[in-house]
Amino acid sequence: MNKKLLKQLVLISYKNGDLNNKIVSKIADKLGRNDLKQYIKSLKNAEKLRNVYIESPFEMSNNLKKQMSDSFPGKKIKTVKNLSLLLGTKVVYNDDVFEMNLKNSLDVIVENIENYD
Amino acid sequence: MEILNNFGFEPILFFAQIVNFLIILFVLKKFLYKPVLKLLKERRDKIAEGIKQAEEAAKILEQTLEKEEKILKDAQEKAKKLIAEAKLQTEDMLKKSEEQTKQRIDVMLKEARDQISYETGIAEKRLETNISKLAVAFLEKSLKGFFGQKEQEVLMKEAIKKLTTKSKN
Repeated sequence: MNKKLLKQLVLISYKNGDLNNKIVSKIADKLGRNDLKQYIKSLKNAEKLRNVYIESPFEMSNNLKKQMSDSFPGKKIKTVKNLSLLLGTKVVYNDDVFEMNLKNSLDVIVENIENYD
Repeated sequence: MEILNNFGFEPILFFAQIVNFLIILFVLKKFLYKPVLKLLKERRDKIAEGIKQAEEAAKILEQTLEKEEKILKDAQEKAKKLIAEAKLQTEDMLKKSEEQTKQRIDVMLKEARDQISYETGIAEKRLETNISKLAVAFLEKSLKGFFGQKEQEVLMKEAIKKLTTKSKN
């Protein structure tokens, strides 16, 4: 399967900006083992590019969600509650991870102590 | 002559006796004295030779004894020298061996100290890490519920600000 066709398949897998399970199932049924592998990989990449995952120990207010959405125009914001962060947030977009939380700060302190000679 | 006659001297008898005596002397000289004298001479020569040989032997013995004494003396001196040298060598070897042993012990001690220092360092490092991990774990447990929505919003706004700046750059 060439890249162009793969890209088209990924594009038609989305309906109203969301991944449509029915379409994906139909496409998956018709693909061979290797093509299916490539298709899933491409879908994962597309999801990574479309979605921004925001982890937070508290529920995010609509105002904050809007502000976040404004920071990532055209991307879908997905919030995840993560109590282990203690305070602050962790934003994952594509392969970038933005950490601004207490848990990470503490982890960095421990890491620095471990690496300190 | 009268005196001779008074003593019963008779010239004929005297002459006959002289002849007899000369005959006996001749016979004796011929058959007894000569061989006896020869034998005696031989005996004397032998004894003289024996004495001479004995003297030579004594002389040789004396020389041998002197030589023996000298050899023994030399041998004793050599032995003394050898013993002294051996003693010196032994002392030297002992000294060297002692120094080498001391050096080895020093090296071993240094290595042991280094090893102990290294292992202590590792142990201290582990302890530091574990303590910091424990401290963080303790903090994590203690801080649960310590912060509220208000602090979270402040931090979120700060995060949004940073993200916006980052995306603009």
